[in-house]
Amino acid sequence: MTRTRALTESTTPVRKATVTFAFSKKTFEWDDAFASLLDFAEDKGLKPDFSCRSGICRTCECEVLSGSLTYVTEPLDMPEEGMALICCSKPDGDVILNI
Amino acid sequence: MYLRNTWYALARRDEVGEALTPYQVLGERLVAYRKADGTAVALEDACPHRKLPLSMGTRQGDHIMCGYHGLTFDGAGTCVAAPTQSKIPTAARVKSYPTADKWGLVWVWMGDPAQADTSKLIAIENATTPGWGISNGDSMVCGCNYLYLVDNLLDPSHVAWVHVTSFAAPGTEDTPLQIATPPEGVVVSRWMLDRDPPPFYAPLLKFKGKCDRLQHYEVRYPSLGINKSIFTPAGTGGPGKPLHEQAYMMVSFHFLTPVDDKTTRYFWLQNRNTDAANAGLTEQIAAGARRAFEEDRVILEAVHAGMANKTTPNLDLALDGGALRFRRGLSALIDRETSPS
Repeated sequence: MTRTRALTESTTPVRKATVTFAFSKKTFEWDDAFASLLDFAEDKGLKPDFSCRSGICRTCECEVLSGSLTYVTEPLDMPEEGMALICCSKPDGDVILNI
Repeated sequence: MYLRNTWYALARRDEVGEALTPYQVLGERLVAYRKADGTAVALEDACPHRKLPLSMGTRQGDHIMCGYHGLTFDGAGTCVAAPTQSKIPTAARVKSYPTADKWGLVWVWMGDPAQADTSKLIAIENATTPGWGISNGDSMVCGCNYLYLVDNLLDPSHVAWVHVTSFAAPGTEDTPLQIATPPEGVVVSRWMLDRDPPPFYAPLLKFKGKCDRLQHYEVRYPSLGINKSIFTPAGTGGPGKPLHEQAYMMVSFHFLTPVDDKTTRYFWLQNRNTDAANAGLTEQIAAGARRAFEEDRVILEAVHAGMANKTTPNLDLALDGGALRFRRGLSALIDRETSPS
């Protein structure tokens, strides 16, 4: 079961979380200094597809296998249940993404 | 599909006069003329008999007579003469559209006439403010869908590449954009601090040296653009700061009227906070604006053709965030208007 929600507060507590990239078979400790999961994934050497990096084009959309995310920028359209736009979101806790 | 219960700019005021002039708005053919009392009339440009354009007929005082069999209509579209019939057919009616004269333009209400309300015409905040100058404005026809022009009016970034000799300046390529979505439309804006002024504005400013510059790109539903530029001496501008006494402000209004889904009539005028009585400057600004909008026209016509004929997918960039939100908002308004309540 995955959930997504829009960010309602500008300051969020520092998250302690592990991020697992299931397709790449890698797990990392989340660092809240990153603006988005996309930035984080790139820093860890992954190369996810992207275009706008602002939640409108859906190029970076991927499956969330477990966990939930918070959108730091409200996407043009919220992704469907079980999907995520990693360019504009951060993990709420441990997450597994299928990238 | 278009938003209908709204005012669209039909023509520049002086275009509508004695002559029966044909127009097309939202794909519908209209004929416009002015009655003796100066009121602008807009009727469906088709006689209800065999749909001959009434603009091919003749005026009979304030009435319009079809050039085929003489059916004659008043400015409200009511048939007042049917010479071939003993009595005027009750079904002989021409659709009439409410009009309004404002800001040097004739506006037309394309929706339910009962909802036409002149208080909904766009306001020009500083039209009569002492010290502010206003241009008479101008217009052009663009061979593209009006939404590509809306996109452009919500996209401060394009000036760096499209308006190289006028509005481009350091900072216009890569300064991040702020997007706001008030109920009446979308605003995309940004301050660029401590930069050289762009070529179009440099000679208009009342101070020398670097500037802080605001680009405020706003479009209200369905297609009314308000483009505000502020230049203040470097160090005095920025979000939330009071306007500096030497601040130069230019507000450019853009009214986009869909002719059909691939043609747009583009009207504009400029309002500025300096040199109110300087006609030469007004002319210079008007000419500069026209040159710049011609640059937009060339690009947007080719964009329309490119998107209509694409053989591979196109992509969206961060700069499209405002325009795409506007398109969503407008679609929702159109859906609300067309879905039975």
